[in-house]
Amino acid sequence: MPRFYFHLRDHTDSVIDPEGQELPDLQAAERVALEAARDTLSQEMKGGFLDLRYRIEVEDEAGTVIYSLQLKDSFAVRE
Amino acid sequence: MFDSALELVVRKLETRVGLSPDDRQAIFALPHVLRTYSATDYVIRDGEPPRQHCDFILDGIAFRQKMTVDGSRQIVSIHFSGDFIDLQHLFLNTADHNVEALTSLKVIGIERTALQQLVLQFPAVARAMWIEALVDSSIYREWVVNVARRDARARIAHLVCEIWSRVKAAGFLNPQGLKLPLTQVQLADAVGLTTVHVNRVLQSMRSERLIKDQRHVEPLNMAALAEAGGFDPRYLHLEQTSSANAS
Repeated sequence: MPRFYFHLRDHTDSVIDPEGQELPDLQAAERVALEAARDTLSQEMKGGFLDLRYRIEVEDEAGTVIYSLQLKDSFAVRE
Repeated sequence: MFDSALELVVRKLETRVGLSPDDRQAIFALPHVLRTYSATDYVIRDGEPPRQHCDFILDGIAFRQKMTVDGSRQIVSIHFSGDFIDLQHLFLNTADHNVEALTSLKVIGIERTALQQLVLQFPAVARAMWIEALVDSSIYREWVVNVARRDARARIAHLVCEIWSRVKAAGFLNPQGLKLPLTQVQLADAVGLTTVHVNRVLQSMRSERLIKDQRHVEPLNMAALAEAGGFDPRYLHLEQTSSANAS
């Protein structure tokens, strides 16, 4: 199975995923990214401060970004 | 070779309860096999009937895990050298969780029926195993609190403190300290978070110098980690040794 890396980045800052995860395909990696975005935000929500400037970038083993998900695109809001 | 493996079992039980020469002799007479597993091997599978042998870890690390119907894995406990990993099935008839080898694992498998007889006939051995089982359940209570009520940072800090304390108490801590052998996926599954979230917390812990600035988690400031995790080692009952247990 290919290995995918999930980095958390904004315009200045990045949390690099040093290990990655083996997953069957890109579709599975996209699901992991979505779950990770929501998990990260849910913790911030409990603290009452959401930082929506981040995105999760999925890289393949060659270091190419093959998918990017803005945290703000990981949920819907109704007001 | 065989005797030295049972010697470890005797030593483990003697940390909790004083054993008589008869107790020791009975333990040394236990029929057993020595086995090895590779990392990620399953030692026990959920739903299985009990195996013929109950395993005790001579060297290595294993963890218990359960899966939800949609395939999410929760690691529910971690076990080190000197831990029984199969007392659950000494008297229960079906495995209710999986046990996986985290590292390569050397175990002594003691014949289940012989171990049952030993426990029924030698009260000091029964007492030591009761204490082991009660401490195990105390650790589970703490893990419920950890994943249910602590935030991400405290969860991870608490887990690191627990592993460090248990490994140190078992006498396996080398002078270089402890590199947590968990992958980030395993760490995430032990604290009920995603790996991205865990990575983010670890990065901030590194910048605060709670853990070392390297890929594998290694404590740098235990006092600060204990404070961050709200860690109180009382639930590990490490002070309940055979000498403090005379009554």
